[in-house]
Amino acid sequence: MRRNNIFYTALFCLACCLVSVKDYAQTDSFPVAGRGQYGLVLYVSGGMGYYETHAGVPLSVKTNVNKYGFSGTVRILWHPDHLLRVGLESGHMTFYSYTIQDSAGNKGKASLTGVPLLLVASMPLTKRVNAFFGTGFYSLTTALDYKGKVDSHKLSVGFMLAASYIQPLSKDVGLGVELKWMDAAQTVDASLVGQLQLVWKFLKW
Amino acid sequence: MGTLYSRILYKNRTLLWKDMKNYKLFGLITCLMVVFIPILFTTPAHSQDIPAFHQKFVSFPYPMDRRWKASLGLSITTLAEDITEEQHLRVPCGEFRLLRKMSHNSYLEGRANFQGFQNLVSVGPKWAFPINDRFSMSLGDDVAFWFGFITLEGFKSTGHGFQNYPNVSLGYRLNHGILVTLKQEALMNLSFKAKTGNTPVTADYRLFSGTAFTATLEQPFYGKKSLSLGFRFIYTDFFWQTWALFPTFDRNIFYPQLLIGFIF
Amino acid sequence: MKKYLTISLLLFLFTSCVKKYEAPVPDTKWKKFDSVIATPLSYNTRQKMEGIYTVVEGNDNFGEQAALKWSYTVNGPDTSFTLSMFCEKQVSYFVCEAKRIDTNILLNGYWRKMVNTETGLGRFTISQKNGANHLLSGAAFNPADSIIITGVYGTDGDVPDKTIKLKYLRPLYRATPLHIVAHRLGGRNSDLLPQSENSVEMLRLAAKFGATGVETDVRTTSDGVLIIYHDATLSERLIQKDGLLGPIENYTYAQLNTLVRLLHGEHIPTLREVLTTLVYNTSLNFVWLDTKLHGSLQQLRDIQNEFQIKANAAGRKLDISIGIPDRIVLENFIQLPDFRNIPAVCELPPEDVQNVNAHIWGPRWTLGTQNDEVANIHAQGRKAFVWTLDVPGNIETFLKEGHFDGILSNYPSAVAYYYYAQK
Repeated sequence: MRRNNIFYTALFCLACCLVSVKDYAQTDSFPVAGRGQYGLVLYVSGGMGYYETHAGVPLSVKTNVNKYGFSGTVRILWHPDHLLRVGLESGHMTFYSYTIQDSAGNKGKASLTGVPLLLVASMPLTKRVNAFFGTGFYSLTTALDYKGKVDSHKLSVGFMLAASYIQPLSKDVGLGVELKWMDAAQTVDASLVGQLQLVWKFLKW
Repeated sequence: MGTLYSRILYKNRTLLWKDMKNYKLFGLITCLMVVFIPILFTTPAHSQDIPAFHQKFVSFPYPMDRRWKASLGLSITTLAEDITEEQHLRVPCGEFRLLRKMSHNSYLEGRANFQGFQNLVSVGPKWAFPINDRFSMSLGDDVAFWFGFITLEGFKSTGHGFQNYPNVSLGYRLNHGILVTLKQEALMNLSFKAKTGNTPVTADYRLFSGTAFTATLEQPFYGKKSLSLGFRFIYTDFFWQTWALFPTFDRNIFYPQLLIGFIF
Repeated sequence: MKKYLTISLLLFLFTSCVKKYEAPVPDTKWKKFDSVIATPLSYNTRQKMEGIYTVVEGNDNFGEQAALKWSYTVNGPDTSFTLSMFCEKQVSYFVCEAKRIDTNILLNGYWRKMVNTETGLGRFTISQKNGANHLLSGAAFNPADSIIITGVYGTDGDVPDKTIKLKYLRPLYRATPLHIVAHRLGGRNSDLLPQSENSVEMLRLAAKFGATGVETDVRTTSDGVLIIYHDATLSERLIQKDGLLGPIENYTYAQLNTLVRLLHGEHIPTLREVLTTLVYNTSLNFVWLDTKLHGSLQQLRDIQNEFQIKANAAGRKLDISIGIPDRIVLENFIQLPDFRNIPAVCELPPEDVQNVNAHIWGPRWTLGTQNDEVANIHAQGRKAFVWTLDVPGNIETFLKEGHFDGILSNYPSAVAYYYYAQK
């Protein structure tokens, strides 16, 4: 239930933000006469995630769980001349890890990491606040070191929800913070992630 | 919020709060409600206002200004583990929608979902009317026919069936050309016929097969192109795209669907 | 207007929810049944109770007829007997224990509908005047003697209060033998059974669900231990969440045995554990080892042979067959010494069955009844088992119109009903 609560809280925040769209004064209007400016924007982010779904561990051994993990993101979005932007996102994140000690005294550790591969849509909610939604896959990796080492991979369908605040540093560069919900839905692994973000509009036409 | 629901639920004797703990979408619907209820109390006037009849849409429940409207896109359905087991698939399906104005408040909607080996076509009337400057509603009923054919080890499995989807939509027009639509459909199985080789497959799906709930956002995308982005939550004992797996469950299974469409 | 819109949104709430399904077995404690004066039934009594019964009351829920059949499992020195009632409607069944108190027979257990989550308690009595007197006597059974089973059933764990009444109609059909083969040692997880698929605990339930044989999936660990597991990966639908993902072949047996638990808490069994249970704890007479191995089958063959000898030594009539589901396994199978004399189920076309001399042909059900091909297979002295047949109407059709020697199903209770109810 905790996982659902967090997820829906994130969704609730996003949905509330949607309401604020009606108050956001944007220069573009529709229908437009001719074409506006298009741009490609790079987002590079790094920060920490907290694993929010049930961190399942083996019950037959003593474990110590760490729910915090690094999360890095690279995202490229196409900014057309209206509100909606689309693009791709990837990166790397640690969902959770734990140490193992069995009754015979054998020790070990395990960690679950993921590489998201997401198709992303985004909308500005105010001039500096943006909402993001992504859907796609997470390439998950289990690294187990207990009675031998194992690196094992699995692809999980999943999604991402996020909101960011961006402070412009120049005409094409900004610095921001992003709060995001990363969810490998198939394997029920999700983290709430806070990141610092560098935004660069590197191409315009 | 939980207390409020528990009271309502208890009063109606429909479901108790403890039962609701099992419902995954409870929070999602809560979110949507919390979004829409404040909207009811907002003032409509705004400087960035774009009237609905200036906008492109196919889902938004509003009287048509043009004779024809169309959209072409994709639906991507996550099939249920109960049916597909270890194959946790997201299945893409082409979607073409065509609207034809009939009178000031009514129009016909046709839809074709195509995957090649299995397809669905539906048609049905809709009656749409504005409630006020921001809100509008529609009532409709779509009759659908699905059909499929799969050849496996030289043996052809074929299937077809009729379904009926009575539906109600509620639309809210935000500024900047953003149209939000919530749609509720009852899913009715009128018939199911399938054969593997010459062997008929008997199935006993319920007439009232479940329900679907769709939230759609329609807005300008680039230039004069508009995009429709939606989520459909299907909750049924028979989803037509699983006919060839011949599921035997007499219980509603959840199929989330992502809908993307370009509006002409 | 705002009020109406709010009500509309509430309607969305009520009708758009997704339920997490469960069908837990209710607690079957019944004071009368558990009393010290209740004693087990004799072999003779049990045998005379088997048969096809008309469901006189309760047929709206369970259909017009039910097949009553006993099964047993051995637990060390104890043998526990179970009376299962395989009903006509919606793949429903009762699983009951039976005892006698004075001149009455009591049945106590639970019922379940496999197509949904409906379940509940069932309590029955055969009174002296309704046939218990005769059943409990040593006299031979006379079909003219009527047996009437009266009882009550309830929903979930509620005290049973709905009437059910069954009347003996005729003996079970057994004219043409049929192997009723339960998928994944008894059933799959999506049918919400009380034990995990492909577990030893599920294997102990298989006969109660009507099975006379089982199918199971053999894989290997990274250190070469043959284990029983269906999916290629450690899948969230099969195991309790533990952060371990990916191909099961990546992990050693020690890692899996210590760290991984199946959905209901069981450990992933080895092939040896399953065959040991099968030989020494069940009455099942057939096992289909669905081979999901990519390499040599020698170890599988050795274990098959070892347990075939053990079964023979224990006086068990048990057929342990290696499954050949595809051409890769076929290629590995024919590398085995004396492969033409190894019991096998071949899912490939009949010519391949003949080439490897598999004693069973196993076509998929979607290919139809294939009566001509089945007749040819029979003419070669082989058997034909069809898989995986779950739609009740099609089970009935295959039994009526087909000539298969075995049916593999997720619903062995449905196969059992339609088989035993034949005239």
